[in-house]
Amino acid sequence: MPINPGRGRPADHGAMDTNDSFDADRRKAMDALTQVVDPEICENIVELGLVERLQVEPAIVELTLVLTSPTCPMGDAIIDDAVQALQQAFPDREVRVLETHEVDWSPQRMGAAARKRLGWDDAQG
Amino acid sequence: MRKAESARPRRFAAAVPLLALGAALALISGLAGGLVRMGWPLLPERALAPVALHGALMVCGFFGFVISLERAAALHQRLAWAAPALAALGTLAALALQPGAAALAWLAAGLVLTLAYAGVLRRTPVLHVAVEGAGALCWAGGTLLWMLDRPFSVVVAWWGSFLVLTIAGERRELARFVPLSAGARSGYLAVLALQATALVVLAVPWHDHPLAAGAWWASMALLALWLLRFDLACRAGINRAGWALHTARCLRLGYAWLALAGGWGVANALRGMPLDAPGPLHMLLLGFVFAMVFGHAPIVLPALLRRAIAAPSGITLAPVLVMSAGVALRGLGDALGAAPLRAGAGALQALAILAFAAVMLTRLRRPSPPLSAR
Repeated sequence: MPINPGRGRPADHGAMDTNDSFDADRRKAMDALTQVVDPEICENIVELGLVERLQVEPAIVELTLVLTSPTCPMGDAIIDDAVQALQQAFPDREVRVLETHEVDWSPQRMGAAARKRLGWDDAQG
Repeated sequence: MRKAESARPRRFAAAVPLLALGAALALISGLAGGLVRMGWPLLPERALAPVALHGALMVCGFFGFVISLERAAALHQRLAWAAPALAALGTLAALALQPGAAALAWLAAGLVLTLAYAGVLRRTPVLHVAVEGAGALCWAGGTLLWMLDRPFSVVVAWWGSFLVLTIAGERRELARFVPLSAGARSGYLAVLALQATALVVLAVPWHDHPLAAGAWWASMALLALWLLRFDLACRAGINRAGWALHTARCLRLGYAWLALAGGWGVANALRGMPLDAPGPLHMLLLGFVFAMVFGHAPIVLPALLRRAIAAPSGITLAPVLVMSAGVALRGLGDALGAAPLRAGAGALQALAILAFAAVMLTRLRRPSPPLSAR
């Protein structure tokens, strides 16, 4: 599943690779992150568009998240759960989860399935 | 296991017991004072503070503390932690029969919280943060008006807006996840503009101005209608389960109480009654605000405390239903001027809060597995 890079930002081709094991690791990381769910929206953080950047390397997995609000009390829990999910998927690698304030969250970052479940009618544009 | 690192250093967990004590103290003393006012002989005669300062203890001591604590935990700014600390100090001063010192502490807490929001707005200028910040400003403003010995109906309006705007901002933030028409966006702003105008007029020394009071209550009713129509919790077709479903049910019930309170308040204003006449005010504070608490706490508390929570059961809705029964009984008692009904309502409401505390204590688990395992 490709990462939604957010509005106005080009896709991070530097983090993409055609190497099969690299792709498998990225899929594994993204699958792990789909287990991290916002408890009020009941959608995972990948579908919600919180994943800004994911770097999977042999020794380290680094994730950068965009949280939906700076005043959200769930932020720590979501970050901690992302750390745990990635650590479970990659027990032998260093895991780092960061938060960025350089990008603002918007509904356009959500995946198509989440948008449909939440009532967006993207077919009408 | 290799090193795992998150970008947010955890400071909150160590202070939880002390902070929980502050909240409990304000809540218990505020509740006890309220019950004594309704005729329950719960406190010795010399325990004047909880009775005399019931409203201030509930709004500033308890809700001010809890809201500022939640924000401090989210913002990770050292200054923001001063707000709940000052709120707790205010509670201690109030219980020591030092209302002047309590008011100063609560005013400072409100200003600190407002500054914290201002800092966030400078970095991320978004509407919902501005609305919550306006709520914090209402806390400070209401407390200042209290210190200036303005009529309590005016103080109560500002304090009430502190709670309502905080909730309105949070819900507006979540409303970004669902489609909102241009009309819905404009309507939200128009309702808030009405409330802000009413507050400004009330603060000018024309106390108990009926038009401003009516406008304030009308803004509450209109906000409730907006929430019932556009809020995430009220949208049809969204699949909800577990605590998310519980939250949605509590919120819908709370919005209904807010609408009723607003309508009753407008009717009172048209009859020339003061803003804080018995009835609508407690319907707003107990029916609406506590429904929000009962709905959100099962989601927010586990996250703040880093504990898992067991799935909801059939008994989980009992506290909000008992509270609603108490609110209905209280409304009837206020409308009829019947003290026994009010006393019975007070007992039900206290029971609801105790029941909620019991539900949370029995459902919170340790240790904390990942969200995926809940």
